[in-house]
Amino acid sequence: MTRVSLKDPRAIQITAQSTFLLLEIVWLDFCPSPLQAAIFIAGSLAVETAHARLTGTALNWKSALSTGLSLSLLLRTQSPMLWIAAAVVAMGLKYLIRVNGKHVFNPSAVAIVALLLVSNRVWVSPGQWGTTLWLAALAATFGGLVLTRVARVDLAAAFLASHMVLLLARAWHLGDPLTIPVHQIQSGSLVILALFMITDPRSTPDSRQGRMIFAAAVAVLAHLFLFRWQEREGVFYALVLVSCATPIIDRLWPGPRFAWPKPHGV
Amino acid sequence: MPPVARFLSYTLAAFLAFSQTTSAFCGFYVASSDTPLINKASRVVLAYDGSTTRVTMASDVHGDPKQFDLVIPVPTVIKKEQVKILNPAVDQHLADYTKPRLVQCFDEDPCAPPRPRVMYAPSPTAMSAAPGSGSRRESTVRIEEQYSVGEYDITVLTATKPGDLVAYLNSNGYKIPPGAEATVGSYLRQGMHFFLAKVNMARMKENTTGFLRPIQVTYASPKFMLPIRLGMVNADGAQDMFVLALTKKGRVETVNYQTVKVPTGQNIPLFVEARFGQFYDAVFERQFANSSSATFLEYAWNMGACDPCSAPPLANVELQALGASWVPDNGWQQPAFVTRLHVRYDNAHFPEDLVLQETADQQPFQARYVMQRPFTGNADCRAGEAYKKGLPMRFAKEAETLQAMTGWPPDMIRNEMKITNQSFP
Repeated sequence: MTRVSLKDPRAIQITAQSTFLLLEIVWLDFCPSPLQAAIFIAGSLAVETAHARLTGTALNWKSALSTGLSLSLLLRTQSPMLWIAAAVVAMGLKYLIRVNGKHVFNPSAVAIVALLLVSNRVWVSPGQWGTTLWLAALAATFGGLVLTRVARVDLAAAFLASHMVLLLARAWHLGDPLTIPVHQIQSGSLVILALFMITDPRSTPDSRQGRMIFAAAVAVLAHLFLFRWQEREGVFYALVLVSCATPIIDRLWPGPRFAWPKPHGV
Repeated sequence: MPPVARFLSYTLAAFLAFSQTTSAFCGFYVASSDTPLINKASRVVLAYDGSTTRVTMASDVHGDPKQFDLVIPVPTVIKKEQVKILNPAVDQHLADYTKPRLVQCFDEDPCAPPRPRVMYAPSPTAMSAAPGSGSRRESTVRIEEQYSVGEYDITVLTATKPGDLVAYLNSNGYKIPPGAEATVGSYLRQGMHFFLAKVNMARMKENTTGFLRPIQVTYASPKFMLPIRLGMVNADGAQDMFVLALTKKGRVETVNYQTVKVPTGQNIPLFVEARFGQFYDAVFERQFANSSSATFLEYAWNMGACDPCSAPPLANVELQALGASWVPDNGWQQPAFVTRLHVRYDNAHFPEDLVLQETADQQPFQARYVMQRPFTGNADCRAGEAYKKGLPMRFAKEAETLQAMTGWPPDMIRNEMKITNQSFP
């Protein structure tokens, strides 16, 4: 069993995610019910515990908790069976789909995509966070802290910058005023995705060069999904698709493997 | 207990404590008196089955038909068979059915054994219109379709240069605001076409309803959105729009703007019955001041039920007419879900068009306010005394609620309540 230490970036990440979840529940309409969030979190921890018992590895409960929190923040469904399914898919795929000892997909992102593909009772509400700037600022503050410590701030910055450049290019092409791309980038859920999912150090390329390519590819694909194919959850599809290429990117541009401050056998 | 298990049990306990329960509604609908409050509001019915959208636009029934014109961007070329004219009563019916409502409940005789009771009340009204009218003369403008449906002459066109399209609209008498060229250009570069309609006065005479009838346009496109930018060019002040969406799965929300529920369920003083329209307008105004970039949910419910119903439920043929083509001729096998969004938009807060999505959320929601009518009998018993003693405190609370919801002056509220026998110290 590990202890929570402020030196562990995941402790800060979990604090940030919990804060957002609490804000959602207290503040926003159409938020997840507390029970739903509890099941996402409990389900993720249960699968993690089962994995640790079965394989004899150390319990990586912080990552599991973080996955449960991400699901609570983003995934919407009213079916309790799907709450459980999301947690099981997220943590299950984390351990089932591995290349060179690394999981390929960010667990919560792949669970969101899997459920969107197989069920029509699931949705993501990108607009529900509103564009309230202070919320985004809070996210940036917390997220920045997390990322600086795990050296993945480059990935978040590269993704957000690529996304912004594409939005500006689109606005320029259409002759739209600047207020439109500025409004589009202010989506709260986009910030959450950029800070807590795309930046997962265990499922993204090891080298900086690889990460830049990864971030740009996610942004380009997300743009196509959003505007060409009118897929509202395009960013998640883009992230999961590009993640498939992570092993190739790692081979082409190798870098030092990331490990959490105290490795726990994952 | 291991830390994980401990954490889990704490989390669960905390979250469960937060969980809410829903209760059955008390309330008979009360017929309302008055006032359409929002004068300049437009109304759009969107029926969406996942791939095909049917948009029904109500026109301003009060205006001079000659003044009516409509200019809207559409994702595909619209052919004659994709345009239908509806009976105005149908879309008015859906609007009435989804309005915010006032209900009334009656206090029981405190001296009698308990027996719950209810009744239901009114809803504010809103209506609206659209602009435009035209002829021809072009450069890069390409007329793709031109036909008449009902009392309308319709033109579908595109252009390579937005300036040409604007010139065409101007020279054909469509009211297009100056400065619209950039917005028109943006739509054209997004591959959209322009759908224009104006009234043919000769055929208007054949329309026995005397009103301009709603136009319904059908198209298959993944673009589930509502273009609002053109209407905001040079508009002074905000405009109101009601979006009534009929879907298969559940509630519709905006993807690029927050969707917020309007307040609901509060107990309010009896005098509000006479001015329910003003009341709701003030409530909305306050909500809008808090979230000026949001769209507001006023109703979300499966069409198979309502509680209480502010109008008789729509017949299946009416739902079909409004575009819910999946609804069978009889029965409820494949009912529709209706969402009513109230959007107050202006350039500063709504830079983009409304991008919509259908969620799987089937949870019912309605804007509903309750008048709790005190018992007026003798109540000569101990419980009756206590009941009467407690009333002023209840009235004070209702006054406080009303003040917080509307911002109306406390003195005015107090005086009005006095007139309806709801005095409090």
